[in-house]
Amino acid sequence: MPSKFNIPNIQEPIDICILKCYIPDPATFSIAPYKLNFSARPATTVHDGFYVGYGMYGTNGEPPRENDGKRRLGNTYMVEHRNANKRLCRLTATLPAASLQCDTKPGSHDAFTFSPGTLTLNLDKAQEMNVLDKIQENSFPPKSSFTKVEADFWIQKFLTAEEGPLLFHPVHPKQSLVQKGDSGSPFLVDTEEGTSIFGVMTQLCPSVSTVGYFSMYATPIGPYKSWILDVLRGDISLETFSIFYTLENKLIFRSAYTSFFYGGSFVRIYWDIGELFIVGEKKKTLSADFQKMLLMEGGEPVTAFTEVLLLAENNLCSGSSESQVVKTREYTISSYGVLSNFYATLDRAIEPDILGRKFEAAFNQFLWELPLYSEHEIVFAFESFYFKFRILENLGLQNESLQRKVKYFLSSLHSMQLQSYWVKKMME
Amino acid sequence: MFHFLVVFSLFVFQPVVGYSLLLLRSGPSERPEQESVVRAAPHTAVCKVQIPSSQSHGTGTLIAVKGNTAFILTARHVIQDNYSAPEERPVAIFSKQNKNFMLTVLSAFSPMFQPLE
Repeated sequence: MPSKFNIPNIQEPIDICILKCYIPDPATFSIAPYKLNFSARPATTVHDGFYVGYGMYGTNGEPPRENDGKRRLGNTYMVEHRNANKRLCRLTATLPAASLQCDTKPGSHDAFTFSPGTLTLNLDKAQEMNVLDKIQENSFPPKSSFTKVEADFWIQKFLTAEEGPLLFHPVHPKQSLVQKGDSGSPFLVDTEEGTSIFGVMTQLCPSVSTVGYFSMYATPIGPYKSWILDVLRGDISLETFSIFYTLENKLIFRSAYTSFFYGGSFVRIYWDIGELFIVGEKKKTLSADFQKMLLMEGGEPVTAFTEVLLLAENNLCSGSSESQVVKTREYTISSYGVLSNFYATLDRAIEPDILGRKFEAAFNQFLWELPLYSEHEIVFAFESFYFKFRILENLGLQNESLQRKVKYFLSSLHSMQLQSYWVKKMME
Repeated sequence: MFHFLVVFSLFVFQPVVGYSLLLLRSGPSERPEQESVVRAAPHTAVCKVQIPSSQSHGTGTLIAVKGNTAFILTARHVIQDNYSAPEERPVAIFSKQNKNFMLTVLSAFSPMFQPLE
């Protein structure tokens, strides 16, 4: 479904990823993880790389077809280019990615500029180039020396730590090349201290793209050491692009942080499933009320994130002066555009009317439980609902039934003389 | 007669034994190609990352286990290339002793920026 809102450009994250998985029974699933070595060996000194992956041959143990050994990740294009000496050079490029490989003459790819997802030819040299047809499996053998290794090698190195000579066998050249399905494989180099995980087989490799075509398929993880360790500790930094999967198996792409204007400065908040943090001068976990609310929402990120926005705001407002509260709330009102964009991102994955129904159901429950609330809680809760209501209104997701209920309740609040700044504001 | 047979055997089989010893001493690059061993599956800590409804897949590496949570290092495009049809969440499939263990992915994290040099 096309989005009704402008979705802000989100910076393309680095092409490495940590998946957080659930193990129902760790006792029966006892596989020792790799010993992660963050050796940040400069790409220029890497002459041989080894990787293990589930691409092609590793899947079923069957030898790949002959052409499979020459396949690149993604779609491979071939470009003919005459250099300054009028010599015909043939280059292959893998798209969509900022990767380019020169088969004929390493270093001659300076005729290209790189940008993610596109291959841009320099205008002054474009006339000399003749872009040929797209070739899925061309006949150019790659120059790189990526080599798949067998499992025993890693068992020896990582599980038994057995000393001795390097006991691996080079696989057949046709089986040693990067193939579809190898994306994400650990890319390893042999160091003096032993073999280390050097990187991850990726498409995007901006950090080493200028070094040489050999390294274009692997992103070194050494520079990301602190980031990886933070993720393993559960510290999801602000510079993290997060993907959450709801209980309904829906996919959400969204950075899990937001900012609030509080006390004259911005306060950043981010969250992981079941955990919520404020980032300030000193990071701290938010109150138990937040966790409780998340649990009440069943841990579902869609509504939980909304609650995070609203509750965090309320939490920050507590104990502050009235003027700060007003200032914070006004910022929130003005940030509806941001929220709209958030939901516009969501609506690609979740049917919008589900959001409306969820809201209405929660609001109905709130009305039924109204006698249980104190006056303060009623105002507090309704304000929370009202913000949601405005979000839905902004998205055009309200129905008449819901609007009637909200208006009725507003008038009820007025008759109950439960007035706060925001109740007054809502009545205007 | 016995001595003759011993001497004859040494004479005949010495090249074979010598070549075999040479092979054992030689490095991997000197091994004949036909001796290459290709295993059916990568290391057990290396898993297949797949969205069930998608035919494409990728590879990941188990790098940490904490309680009921496993952390797998992979490439972002392995899962993002398939998010145009987000009906299912990705899974990490480990092969161990001819059995497949399928882990459900709860969330995924990618760095937004390159670290400063």
